[in-house]
Amino acid sequence: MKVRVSTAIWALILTLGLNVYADQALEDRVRAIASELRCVVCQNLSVADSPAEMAVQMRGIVREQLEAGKTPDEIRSYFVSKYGEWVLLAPPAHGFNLTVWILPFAVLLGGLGFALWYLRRWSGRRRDDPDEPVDPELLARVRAEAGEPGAKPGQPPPDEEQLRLYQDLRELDFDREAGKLSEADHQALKGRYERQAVRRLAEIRASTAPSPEPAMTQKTDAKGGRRGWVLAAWAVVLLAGGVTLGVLLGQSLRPRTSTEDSITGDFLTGTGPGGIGRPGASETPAAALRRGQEAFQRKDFKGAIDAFRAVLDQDPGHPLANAYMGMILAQAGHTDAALNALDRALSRTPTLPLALWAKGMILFQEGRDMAGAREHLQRLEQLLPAGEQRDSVRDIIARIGQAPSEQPKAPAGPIIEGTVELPPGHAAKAGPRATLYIIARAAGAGGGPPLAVKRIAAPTFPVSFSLGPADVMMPGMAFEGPLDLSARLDRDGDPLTREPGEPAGAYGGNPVKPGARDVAIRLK
Amino acid sequence: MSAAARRVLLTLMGVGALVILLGYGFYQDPRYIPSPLVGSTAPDFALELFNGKTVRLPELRGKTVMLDFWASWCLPCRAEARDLEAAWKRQGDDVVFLGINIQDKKADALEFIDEFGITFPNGRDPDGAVSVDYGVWGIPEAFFISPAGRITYKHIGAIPPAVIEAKIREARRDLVSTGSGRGEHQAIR
Repeated sequence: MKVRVSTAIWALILTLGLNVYADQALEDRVRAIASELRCVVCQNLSVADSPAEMAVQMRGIVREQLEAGKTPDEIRSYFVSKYGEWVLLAPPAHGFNLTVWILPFAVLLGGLGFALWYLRRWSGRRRDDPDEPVDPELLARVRAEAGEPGAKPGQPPPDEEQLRLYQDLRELDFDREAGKLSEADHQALKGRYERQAVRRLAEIRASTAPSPEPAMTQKTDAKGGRRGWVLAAWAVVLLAGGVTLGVLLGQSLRPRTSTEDSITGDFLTGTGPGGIGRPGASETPAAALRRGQEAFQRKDFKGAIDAFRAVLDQDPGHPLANAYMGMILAQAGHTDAALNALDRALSRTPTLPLALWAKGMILFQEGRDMAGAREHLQRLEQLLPAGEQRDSVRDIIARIGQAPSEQPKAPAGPIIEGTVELPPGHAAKAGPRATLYIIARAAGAGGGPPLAVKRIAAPTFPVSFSLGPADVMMPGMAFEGPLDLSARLDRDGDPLTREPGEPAGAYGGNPVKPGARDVAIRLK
Repeated sequence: MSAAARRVLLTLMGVGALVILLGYGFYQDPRYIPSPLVGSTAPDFALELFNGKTVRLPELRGKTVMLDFWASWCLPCRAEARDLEAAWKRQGDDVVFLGINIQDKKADALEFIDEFGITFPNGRDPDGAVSVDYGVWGIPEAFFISPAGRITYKHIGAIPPAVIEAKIREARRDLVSTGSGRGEHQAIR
């Protein structure tokens, strides 16, 4: 009796705790989906961040659909079916949208390439080496052309850069004669301009002649190659610096978690993932755990969940925090999540009494694994000193011995069984993503939401099916007749998009009652 | 072609492509959301009317339906209100006008209906479920639904009387318009 009473109290208080935890988890999921949707009445704000009434209503719809068991993909598809892909903040990477993803990188690479090419050209133009070997033939031509401007017979006319250099050379001579330039400066500058003019001539000749002189080309190529490597190294350093900065900024920015919080933080300021102003933001795991246990004892489950989450944020495998979270999850029906949390606790501390007790009790009460329940409680019994607690555990172990081994049951009730057939010509058109939906609606309802749906991915026809209480859309709804049965083969597997010509059909013997057998639906 | 001419041509082509891209961007209205619903089956809904009755869209199959989303604070809605009422009075029994009041107070909506003497049925969409189902983003927004239940045309903004008549004729024959209409409208809140 004592065990039963304490279990009932646990059930009550932990159910309260679970509701709070489940609400928070649901809100997190709503926010995650809403943050991918664009607010339709404001520019460049997500539905999650927008204060607009429409965004609030859209968040409400996201919440409703999550509660109805829809997946995030289905919810996104719903909004896309209403507003088009415009509603997605990140356009999907296919078709024309690919340009949005590719173009920035293409422009970045193109810009980098152009900058490299320009820098090489610029540095080549600026470089002046007095010891550089000069082709005497070209030097003679430069001197002749500089002294006597204009096109020579049989030679191409000088281009703008050559004309500028020839003009500079003539002005040098003029300045020396006018006494504005010393002989040494004149010689140095003249040598530089002549070498530049020779280089220009060589460039022109190289661009027109198929094979330039091998010796000079090799030397120029070697120098150009070295310069290219240096520039490329700088470009890589700059790019790596930019990417690192971007990653660091991305890591250090986050949504505000409270009015006192800022958008920067985490590893830059050491405020932790909780943010400033949120309980547990700068708390050690031990302090948060103590806070959680105190909250748990005074039945403040919201506070306890917040505190344990703060611990798990910093140490996801924390045994005690996982054990408490497991207990809270279990009592409200999230058995699998609870067992996961308890397994995490026991994987680090196999002798943790709280986790052993909770896992043993869950397996016992769920009736899913009596041997497992007994094993965990026996391990606990060995750990406990003689006394009231050990006696309680022994009592439960004794009850496990008497309990029949039960398997989890699907919701009970009659089912409908039958087959769906598809004319051979259609099967080839179905495609690899085709999904068959077998739908039951209340007889005579016409449209509206179905009562139950069976989804069969990539079906091979004829398909045998059964439709029953396990397939009802809304938990708690009774699977009872009379029902109209129909089936539809969706080519792209997305129930929200319907293409013309998709095979569909209703059962010829509608309405049917649960329990019906050999229901043959033929798709057309 | 000389090297210089080639350079000039390449530069002009690059600049031209950028100008065209920019021009296209400036020409587009980033707030305009093209509706994917035109041509598809109108989403079902049940609407509680101001007179207390409830109207369900599936019950209107076989009739041509004009849905009009509006609010009392919306100026273009005021501009079209009398035209809508006049157009409604010209229709026979095979056409139903249905006003859907959104993001509004009930008292303000009723005052609006009184002020313009609106006699076609009107109801409220308090949680925005119908608005989102129809992809509404500005008001007034009108949807024309054929007797077969298909959306044949959508018009955002005040709708001229001639367009109402023409689109009802098309909806009656289940003819789907290739584009949506635009007029003076107001973003919803």
